[in-house]
Amino acid sequence: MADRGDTHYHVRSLNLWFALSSLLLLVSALWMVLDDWKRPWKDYQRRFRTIEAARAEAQLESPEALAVVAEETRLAGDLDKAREMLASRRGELDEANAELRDAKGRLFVATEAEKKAKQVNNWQRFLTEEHRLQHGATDPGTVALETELRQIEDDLAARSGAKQDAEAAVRAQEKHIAEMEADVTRVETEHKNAAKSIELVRTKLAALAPSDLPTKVANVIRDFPGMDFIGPNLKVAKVLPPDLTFELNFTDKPRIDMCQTCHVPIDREGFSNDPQPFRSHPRLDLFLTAKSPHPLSQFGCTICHRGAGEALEFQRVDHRPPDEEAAERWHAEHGWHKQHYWDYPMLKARYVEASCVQCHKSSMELIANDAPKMAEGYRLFERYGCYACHKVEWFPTKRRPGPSLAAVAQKTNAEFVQTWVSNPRAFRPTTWMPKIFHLENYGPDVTVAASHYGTGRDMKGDEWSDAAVAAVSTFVLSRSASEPLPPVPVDGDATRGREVFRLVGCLACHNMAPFTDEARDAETDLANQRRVTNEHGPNLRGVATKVTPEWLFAWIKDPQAYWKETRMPNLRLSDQDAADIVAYVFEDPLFKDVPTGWSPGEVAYKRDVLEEQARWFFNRELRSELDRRFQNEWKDDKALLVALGEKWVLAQGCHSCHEIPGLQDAQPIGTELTNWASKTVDKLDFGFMPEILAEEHGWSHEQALAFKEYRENFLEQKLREPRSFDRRKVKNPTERLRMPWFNFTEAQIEAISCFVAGMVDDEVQHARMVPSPEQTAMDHGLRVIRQKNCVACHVLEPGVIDFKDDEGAQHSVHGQFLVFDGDVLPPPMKGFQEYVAKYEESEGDLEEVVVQLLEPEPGLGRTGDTVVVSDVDGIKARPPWGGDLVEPIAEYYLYGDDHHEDVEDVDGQRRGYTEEQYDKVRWTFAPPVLVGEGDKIQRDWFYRFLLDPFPLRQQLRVRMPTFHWAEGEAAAVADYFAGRARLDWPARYARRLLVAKEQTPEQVAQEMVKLGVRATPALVRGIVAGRALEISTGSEGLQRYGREVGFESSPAVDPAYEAIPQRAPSTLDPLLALHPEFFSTVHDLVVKGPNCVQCHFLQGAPPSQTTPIAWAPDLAHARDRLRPDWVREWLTDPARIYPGTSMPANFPLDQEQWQDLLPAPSAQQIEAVLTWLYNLDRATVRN
Amino acid sequence: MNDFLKNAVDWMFAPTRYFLGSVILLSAVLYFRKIFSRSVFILAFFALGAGFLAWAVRDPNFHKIITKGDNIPIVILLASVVFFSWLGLRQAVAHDEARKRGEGGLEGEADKQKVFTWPDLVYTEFICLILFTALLIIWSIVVEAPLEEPAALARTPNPSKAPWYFLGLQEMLVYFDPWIAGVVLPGFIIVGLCAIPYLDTNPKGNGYYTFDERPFAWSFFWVGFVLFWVSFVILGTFLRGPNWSFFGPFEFWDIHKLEPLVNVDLSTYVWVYGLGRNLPQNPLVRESPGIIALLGWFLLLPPIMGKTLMRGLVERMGVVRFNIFMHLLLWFGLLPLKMVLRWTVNLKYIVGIPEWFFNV
Repeated sequence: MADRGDTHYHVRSLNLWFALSSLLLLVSALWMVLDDWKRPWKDYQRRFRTIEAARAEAQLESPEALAVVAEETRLAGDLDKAREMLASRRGELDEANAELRDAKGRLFVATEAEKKAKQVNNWQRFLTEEHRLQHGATDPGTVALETELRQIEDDLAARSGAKQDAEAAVRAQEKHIAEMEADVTRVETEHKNAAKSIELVRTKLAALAPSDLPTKVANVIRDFPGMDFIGPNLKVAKVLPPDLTFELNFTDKPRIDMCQTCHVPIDREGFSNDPQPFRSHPRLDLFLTAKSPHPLSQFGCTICHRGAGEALEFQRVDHRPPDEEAAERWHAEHGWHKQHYWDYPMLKARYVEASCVQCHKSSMELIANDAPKMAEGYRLFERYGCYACHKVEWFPTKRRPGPSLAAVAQKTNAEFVQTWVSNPRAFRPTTWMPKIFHLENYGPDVTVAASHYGTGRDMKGDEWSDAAVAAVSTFVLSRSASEPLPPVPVDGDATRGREVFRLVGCLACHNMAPFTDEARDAETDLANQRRVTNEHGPNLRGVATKVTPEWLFAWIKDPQAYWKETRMPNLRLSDQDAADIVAYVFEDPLFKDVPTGWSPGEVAYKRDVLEEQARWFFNRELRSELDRRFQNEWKDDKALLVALGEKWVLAQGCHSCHEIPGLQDAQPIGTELTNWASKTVDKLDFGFMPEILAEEHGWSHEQALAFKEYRENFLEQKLREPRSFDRRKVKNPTERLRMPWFNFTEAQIEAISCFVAGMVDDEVQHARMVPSPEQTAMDHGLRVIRQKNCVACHVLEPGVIDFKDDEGAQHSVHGQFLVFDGDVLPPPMKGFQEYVAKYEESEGDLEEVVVQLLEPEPGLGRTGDTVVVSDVDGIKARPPWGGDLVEPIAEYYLYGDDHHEDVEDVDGQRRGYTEEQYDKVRWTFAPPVLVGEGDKIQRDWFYRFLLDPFPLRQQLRVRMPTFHWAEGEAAAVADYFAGRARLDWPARYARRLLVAKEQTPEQVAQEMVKLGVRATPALVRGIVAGRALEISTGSEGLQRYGREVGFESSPAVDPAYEAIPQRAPSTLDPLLALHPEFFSTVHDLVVKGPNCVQCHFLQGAPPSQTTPIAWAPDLAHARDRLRPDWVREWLTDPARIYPGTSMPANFPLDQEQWQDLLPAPSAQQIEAVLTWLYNLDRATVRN
Repeated sequence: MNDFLKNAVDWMFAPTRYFLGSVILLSAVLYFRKIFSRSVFILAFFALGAGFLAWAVRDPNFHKIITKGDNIPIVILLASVVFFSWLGLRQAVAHDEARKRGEGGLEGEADKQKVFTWPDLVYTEFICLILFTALLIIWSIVVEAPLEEPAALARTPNPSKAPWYFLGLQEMLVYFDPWIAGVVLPGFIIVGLCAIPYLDTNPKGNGYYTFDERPFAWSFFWVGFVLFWVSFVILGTFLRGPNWSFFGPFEFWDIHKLEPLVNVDLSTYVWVYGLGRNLPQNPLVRESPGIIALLGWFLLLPPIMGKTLMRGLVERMGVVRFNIFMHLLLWFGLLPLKMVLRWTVNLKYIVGIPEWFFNV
């Protein structure tokens, strides 16, 4: 439009404006499209495609792939050859086919002829029968008809035979043809199988980086800016785990996790070394893969990691940097900062195990190995009694963690109580009683109260605490029973007491470690060294200064009488034993040793502080009333102390951990933690700590603010310095923080925080994990085993040794090292590397180590076989689980020390033992090993034994204690062993099968395929390794194969009911009918043959060997104690079960013995002994 | 120095000082309009403003509040309101000056400036449309949507803010119960705006800017719109933080900040503090001082004003119009009155009858 000249604006300039603005609009629109196309997640996906394509190409070039290609070519050659051969024999084949056709023709003819003969036969039969009915059997007509019928029957038989022959001819011919074609079929199948893996790679590569032009162009168009809304290659990956929601205050919102949009290969193997976000999940065996227990589609990501799953940008996801350095780098690279508005920030990698808590509340013990930090936190939470003050709804115990104070006055004196309450660690640095008074918010410089109504003076923290200590102690003692205990009834012998103390099992749970690190390092006596299991009970050093002899006597005789929830079991000590121990404790200087600085005494308190405290604690009372009381009933300090003490106890929560008469039902003082981790951070009072820490660490304002964004920071700080949130606050005495100080190490703080950070409020997640009754029982069992400290005495799991054999193959076996250097005992397992260093220091280079297998290992050997490992540096040993007491006991027997040379045996004789007897001592006098116990023991006997133990092994001086079992606990332990055996059985079966057949997993898999069972070498290996998934999919097939090849094995344990076939009348009655003298014959065999009664008791009769080291359990117990399958294996070859046992193989399968006593092969002799053994109660014993 | 300046600014922006300062500033601008309408002032204002921004934006708290996605328009609002208010004032001053010089001012000028619908209007509108569309697209690319926490039934964000254009109303909630601040007063705003043409008897100022010819209308607009609407929006956006506490522009929004105020009802002032006795049982008796005061405010003030200060107005408007006008004005006046009473004597309610949900 031209300028008319009469307009206000020049049209031309308007046009120009129009053009420019349109251009701007166009540019901005394009920018918009490009901005969307450039979104970071698309870029990540594009980058990953190149990585993946390169990976696939490289895979095609890899030696394995080249080998496959070569194999493919070779097979193709074979195929061609086979086809050629077939073609050259075309004439023969045609002929054979023609013959087949003829044979089939003949078969048809024969079939038809037979059919016809059958009809005739039927008709003739009918005629004959009818005639006979009407005219009688003697009628000549009948006779003639019968003769004819017989001829017809002969004819039918002949024709049937002809048909059968024809049929056989057809089948033979068919087989002949199939054989001629078989070569081709076989090669074809092999060809197909060989090419399968490479074909997968090729297909993938074709999809990723297509080589044909049209697909290439199409792919570019699909992802072109502005076109990518139609059917793009790059897509947002969404997971909607069913039923998983997160709670937004009363509403449940389904979770949608889009994390895989950028973390593309997170659920794929083979990307473990790639940079993020292209890295595989480190635990694909547990997470994400379809085979794992937590598949991606069912769980997603944020259920464990938290963070904002629906976000697609680095910043909005609320990623969590592992450390400060990463935070800064992320800030620089991605503009990262805490996403303030997201309440559930991603968990730090080191805290991610916290998430296990939300579903695994009822299987904490079962997952402990996979979530060690969380499990450690859970255990500490229990051990330190956190649950006593902080309610956690589902927490499995309500036991008060501290000893009952109902009779504390009988146990110790007022001075000790006061000084102990003031600072328990001053007496026992390892105690788990926290420090409650004299903490920082009651520090000497802190003015706790300015007494406006009393003295008018400022009262400082230390005098305030002193008064509190005096009040608490006085109150507690005032509530305690105080009538004197009866005196120790017999005189004790301290020397003998020491031996009883060392041998009866006290050292399983207690130690007497010195108080300082240096002294501990110098300590050589095993009793004075700290182990996990011997810290189950308190360190006993200095205990003689704490308790009275009368109390100690009563306590070790019956701990439960003093404290009914105590974990200390009853060792069924005789009065003499107990008195000896008491004498030892009160005579040995060890028990009078106390840390420097510990001196029990009365705490000095001030009356005016007491009155001021009373004014605060009784602030609901009238002041005039209080003043009246100060003059009257509280005139005496003691009365005031008792009144105040009760208030202090309730305020500090002493009653949560200790039973105090009258306060059993008082409420605990801590915050409930059931849903603590769902609390938003703004509900946590950080006080001034962020600012104070900022000053201390030189943090910026931003960092101080960021500190408040994460609830774990609160938790850690609270555990580290529980009263620190009071710093710089103005608070009156009743408002101050009360959590005591536990002196946790940083590792403990992290573990506990990790556990507590997992306590989120989410019912849906809880419902997801419903353990099977078997799992629940095993979890419960493990828990009880931990609480009763069973592992202190018994080995429950063999050690694991990882090594490389001479061919470089890596093995991980259950095994132990053999000591070939006589003077180094015990065999090195704990701290193998230290052993190597020590050996090399004194003996020179350790060139090889002998490993003895404790489980059959395919490719290595059976139980008891040895493997020589020359790559000593490559050995990693994980010590067996449990059995810490074995060493101190064995040491006591073998080595004399200042106090003894000989050891008193159960028969009252004193004997000396030497190092050569190590194995024997270990097997005979130490607590028994319980590896594979579920296979060995009948569950019901075990249960009864736990409830009421008796001396099964007469020679033992160490006692199986009588535990105080809560409801269901003993059953849970018995169930644990049975369940464990049942779970382990398929792997055990597989191992034995492979070892017996001397086959590799590859061979077994091949054989199984031939049987028509689906199997791969990986599957077989998985079963051998005991992996649950492989066992559930492949175990049955393997057993089919086992039956096929004639492998026999004892069946799995059935925890519900186990029949004893040897006792069944169906076995016994015919046997006794046939051999009335059966029992006496076997008895003769047992006594005159291997002479079992040399070592074994027999129905109460002692063995002929008089030295206890040779003794073995009474054979009469076998009947209701042992599983017959186990006894059979045991009799066959004991060393295959417990390498090193003194029990010889009495009935070796490859020899025949004692034919004069019972003429039968060994296997039958064993069966006979079994039958006798299980019917000992019925057999008449001849002497 | 930096901290001193920041503290000074924070101090200055406390609500009382902010409000009174705004009143003084606006009065000064209006009174000295001849001086303020010079270009140098607006240039100086924007130069100083830009300088202030450049300095202040380095402060993390200031930076955060200024650059928050939905606060950017308010920054633009701030600049544009100042500019256009100044522009109007400048034209008004020009007109009034011309009129004073006897040149007839700008009256009727507009009649002479006729332009064509096409292209002068429609074409330019179209260009603006395109430019604005482009601007919106670019804005949406460059400025990210200001997402906050996921919506939750029981957990409202803190501070929980109305959309920016309602922040003025939300500010009134500090001083009044919702039924007044949210229903009555906005109702009167709308009614009052509708009533302006019928109440306004001044024929001057059509099609041109003038102050001298319409001083009341002009001042009232500035007070009502600039002071009570725009500046409340700014106050609500930038200066109100968690728990609706007041925060200076450089202050950190600390959720734990306390305003240690104990507000007291008028009845308590009269009965307890004044007469030294307990509050009467009967709410009507108890609240009688406030009721009398309110009745006096609404019923006595119009006739008194009409007889005295506003006699001229009554003559010009007539009694009915004057009364309607006065009541609208008094309702409006209740707001600053209550604000001043709250700031000065911590007055909670003039009439407080919670028994009947009637609080003024």
